[in-house]
This record gives sequence, structure tokens and C-alpha cells, in this order.
Amino acid sequence: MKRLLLVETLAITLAFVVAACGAPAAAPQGGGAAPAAKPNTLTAVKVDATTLDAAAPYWAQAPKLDVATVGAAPGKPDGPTVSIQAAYDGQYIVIRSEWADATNSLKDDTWTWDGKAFTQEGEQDFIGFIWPIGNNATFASKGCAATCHNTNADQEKWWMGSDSADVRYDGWFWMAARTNSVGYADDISWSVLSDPNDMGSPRVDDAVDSGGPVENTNGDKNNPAPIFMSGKDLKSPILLDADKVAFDAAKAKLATGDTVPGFVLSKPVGSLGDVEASGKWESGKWVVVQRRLLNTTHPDDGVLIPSKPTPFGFAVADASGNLDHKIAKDVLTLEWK
Amino acid sequence: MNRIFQWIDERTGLSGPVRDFLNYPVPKYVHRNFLYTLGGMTLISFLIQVVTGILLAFYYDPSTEGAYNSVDYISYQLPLGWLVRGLHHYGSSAMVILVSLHMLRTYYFSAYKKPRELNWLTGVLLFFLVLSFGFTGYLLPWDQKGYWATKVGTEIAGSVPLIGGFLLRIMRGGANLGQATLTRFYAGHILLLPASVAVLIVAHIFQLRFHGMAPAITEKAKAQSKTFVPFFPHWAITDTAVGLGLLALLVFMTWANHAPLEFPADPTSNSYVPRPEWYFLFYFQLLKYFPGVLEPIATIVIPLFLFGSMVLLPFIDTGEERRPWHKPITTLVSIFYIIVIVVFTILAMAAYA
Repeated sequence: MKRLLLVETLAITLAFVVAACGAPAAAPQGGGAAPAAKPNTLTAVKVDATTLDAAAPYWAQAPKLDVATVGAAPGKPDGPTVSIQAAYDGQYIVIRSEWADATNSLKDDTWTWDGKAFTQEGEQDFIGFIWPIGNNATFASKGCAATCHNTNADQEKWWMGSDSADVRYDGWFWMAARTNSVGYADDISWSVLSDPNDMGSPRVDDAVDSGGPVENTNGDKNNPAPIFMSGKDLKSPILLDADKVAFDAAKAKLATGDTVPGFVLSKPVGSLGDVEASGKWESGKWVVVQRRLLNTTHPDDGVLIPSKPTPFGFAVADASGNLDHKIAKDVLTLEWK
Repeated sequence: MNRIFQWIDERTGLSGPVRDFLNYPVPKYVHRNFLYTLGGMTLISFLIQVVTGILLAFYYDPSTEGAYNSVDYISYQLPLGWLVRGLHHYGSSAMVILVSLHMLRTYYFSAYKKPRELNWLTGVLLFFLVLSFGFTGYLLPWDQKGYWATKVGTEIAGSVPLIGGFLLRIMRGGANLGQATLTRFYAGHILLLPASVAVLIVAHIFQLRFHGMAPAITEKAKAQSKTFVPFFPHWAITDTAVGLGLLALLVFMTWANHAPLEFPADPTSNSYVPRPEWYFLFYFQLLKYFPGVLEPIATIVIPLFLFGSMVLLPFIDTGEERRPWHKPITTLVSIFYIIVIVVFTILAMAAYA
């Protein structure tokens, strides 16, 4: 009997030791190729501390999921292949995305002077992640398609959201001009079509205490114009709140084709600014890192629980706005290692 | 303390039966042989299932709207909920393995022979009830795996000639899977099956005690079969030690790999590939070989033949010989079935991988 208990104790101890030794090791220093990912699965690796550094050593340990994107609207060409990686620590999850994009598109409703008046135009690059808030069977099996209401013959009446106020989605929308310039990604949510005449009504910005983008316009319906310009760099496509001065045509000395940013930017304080972000365009490629608390405790955010697989989707766009965004065709799943 | 026991005994008269139970003489070769712990291990695994099942029931919501969220809460938010659910999850597999091994030992030791036929039959029923536990249990989280496996499982029952439609409606509580199905499976899982298993276990143990251990089959055991030791503490301690080992193993498996929970059930999903628990994989593989009009062979003929042969075994194999190496037919038949089950399971796993 003593022998049995001894053998049993030794076996149990050995098993736990072996399992503990097999636990994820700390990320090695230095580079190296990231391991391959399981199909449609983004595996977040545990690290000591996450950062917004796209070159952090732990990315060499994080499986790289390559996702081919397709046009969300019919007849539109496919998009780039986006490589995604993820890591987490006790508090944060960080996601690194990388995709080819020949142009660094920073226009965002930008004012363009035609010699007589201003017109507003321009789209920026973006990547947006979408997560269900709470458990969502339809999203888990159908992905973004569950949110896409695209059966109306008129594409202008297509909208994205849910059919019930109880079903909500959390979005992390990084935009090359509007949010990247001040180091965050818009934290938004989707719900029902609250205004049948406004296809954008399901999409709501998370609560904000202060800051955030403000349209740079005088609001004049007949002759709209910017009200601010940069006091530092008139040629910059970005206008930071800290740099803004009142628009002065005499000082601006605009020539035909010159532009003034369409938004005055500052980092929002509040749930809208939950997602920190850092994006860099270089040599025809975007590398974007987004980081957020696993649980922000904000009611308009999804909660990510390490060990719990979570479905998600994403869209990417090349200066094309919402109607021509490219999406991951299959449902993606975030897993934890 | 003695006065308390005495007070209770004067009013219940329990001390006599309890003393008889604990002092029951068992052959000395039994309590040192691992193969004879399999029955006790099966009982212990059942008790683990009962305890963890009761704990889970405190938090489980048996509704199609709430089931998944409640299991999700148990798994990811409730302190130690992952452990309780993991023990229940892996414990169910342990129970299937242990009851199968226990039956195989009984089979190879010919312990089903006269006068132990009824004990064998209660064992056969317990075996199928354990499988029923598995079948009813994996719907309860109302996740993709449970939903679609149950859909396929009930469709198999529905394909039985003549009574298939009736069986399907009885199991589902209607034409489709829904709240009625979940309610029926839940009631079956936590009321009907545990009560049936408990009654059969009592009958099983009573039969064991009534007839005593089946005759030994090896010379070494036969030589020790005239020496007896009391059930307590000898055999009871062996069972307890091995039982603690089983519990530790289940804790380890849970710790190393938490019980899976797939995404919530989506009845409109058209891309999910249904797959059953591992112990039903061989049967799903078997079904592949009998498509279309041949399906009843797999859904009714083979199961009935297997169940019938298990029930009739003690009435067919009535000879005196108990040593498996001197009984080539029964031994080879069992080996054939074991190989088929293992190979089909591997094939199915490879297909689902």
C-alpha cells in the first residue's frame, strides 16, 4: 500500500512538473520568423508586458495569421493579404497588423482650395476590428456577414449592425489620418438601425469625456470653409488641436489645389479612446499595432478573457471609404496560448 | 462520540448492516490486484460526476437563451468553475473508459457465468446508461458541438424503420431541436439517469455481495482464494488510494487543458461539421459504410445485435471453462470488436482532423 501511494504521489508530481515545463516560455530576445498560425485562428501569446512597439521581440514568438481579404461589395476587387499577430499580458491585448499598401492615404474630408472656393474630399486608409459584445451565436458562425445588411437593391441603403438592441458589436477602428496621428483607434460600437433614413445610425462612438476629432468647418451650407489651420505647418495633412490657429486666408496664401485638414485632432479621453494605436507606413506597407485593456469595464466594450476563444472579424481599406472595404471571408477566432 | 453513535444506532439499527458491509470477507488476491479496482473506480468516477454535477447545477440555466451564457460563466468567470466543469467533463470520459475496462475484465474472467447472470445484465444496462449520460450531457452547454451532434444523433434514431419518427419526437420533444429538447435532455441527465444508475449500482453491489467474487482463473489467485481479509480496511483503502489517483489525474487534465466550450449553437449555420464525443466516433465512422437504404443496418441491426449478444452472453456461454486463453471464440470475438472500435475511432479522428 505504501508503495502504491508513493508511486501515485511521484507520478502526480512528475505530471505537474512536466506540464509546468511545457508552459509558454518567455519570448526570446532578438528576431526570427514567427511561427505559422492555425487556419483562421489568431493565437495570442502570453508576454510579460505588451507595448505598441511593432518590433518588440515577442512578435517573433507570436504565430502570424495571414488573411486574404475580399471585396465586401459585389464587383469590387479583392484586397491585400493582412498578416495579424497578437500578444497579451495580465492587463492588455495587443494586435499587430501588416499589409501592403502602395500609398499612404491621409486625406479625410480634406478641404481643397480650387482657387475660388473650398471643396471637401478624400479618404484615408484604415483597418477596423470587430468583436461581439457578449456571446453571439450568429457572429461566431458567420462572422462579419452577420452584421452586414446588404440585401437592398440600393447599395446606399446597406448598413452594418444588428437586428436587436441586445446584440451589440465592439469596433476598433484605426484610421491613418484621423486617429493614428494622435495615437489611438476609434473605439466604437454597433447596434440596431435606430434611424431608418440614416444607414450610419447603428454605428455609435463610445462615450467620450473630452477630446476626439472635431470637424474643421464653419458649417455654412452655402459656402462651407475651414475655421482652423495649423500654426506650425500649413502643408501638413494633419491638424492637431494643440497646433490649431484660426483660419486666416491671408496667412494661408493658398494656391489652387492646396489643402487644409478636415478635422482637428486630439486624443479622446473616455471609452472612445480605449484602444491605443501606433501605425507606420513605410516602403509600401502599413504596420499597425493596437492595444487595449482586456476588460475596460466600459459597458460599450467587449470583454476579452484569456483562455476563452473569441470570434472576430476585420476590414481594411485603401483610401476607399466604407463602401469599398475589404474583409476577411471566414470567421476568425482569437485563441490564447 | 460513542454516545452519539449509540444514540443513532438505538434508533436506526444501522450498526449491524454497516459492520457486515465493512467486514465482508474478500479473497486476499483481490485487494492487491488493480483489475479488481475497476468496479470501485467506476463507482468513484460516478460519485465525482454526481458531486461536480450538483455544483454545476447551482449555476446552470437550462434554457436555450441562458444555457450557453451560464456554462460560459462557469468556465471563465466563476472561481474554480473551470475546475468543477473540467472534472465533470473529463470524469465523463473516465467513467466510459472505466466501465468499459470493468466489463472487459468481467468478460475475460468469465464472471458473467452462472450464478452471476443478473450481475452481468445490470452491468450491461449500466454501461448503456453511462453512454446515455454522455449523449444527454453534451447538449447541455448549447454550443455548436452539442447542438449539431445531438441533431445528428437524434436523426440517427429517427432513421430507425417504423418507430424512427416516434423516437425522434420523443427525444427532441418535437420536430426540431429547441427548448423542449434541452429540457428533456436536462431532466434525463440530472434526474432519470442518475436515479436509474444509482438503483442499478445498488443492485449490482448487492449481487456482488450475495454471490461473492467470481472464481479465480489463475493458479496463483486460486492458491490465495481460500484466504480472506475484511473489505475494510484492505480493499477499501486500495480503492481509495486508486480513487485519489484518479481524482488527481482528472485535476491534472483539467489544469493542463480546460474543458472545451465551443461557440454558441447557431441552428442556421451551414458550415459547421458535426462531430460526437470521442467514445461515439467509432459509431459515426461505422455509419459512413452504410449509406442510403443500408443505413438501418448500422442504426438498428448492428446495435440490436451487439446489445442482444451482450444480454444473451451468460446464457450462451454456459461451459465451466473460465480461462480466456482456453476460450478462443469469445476471446477472438472480443479482440475483433476492440480492433474495430479502435480502428474506426482512429479513422474518424483522422477524418475530423
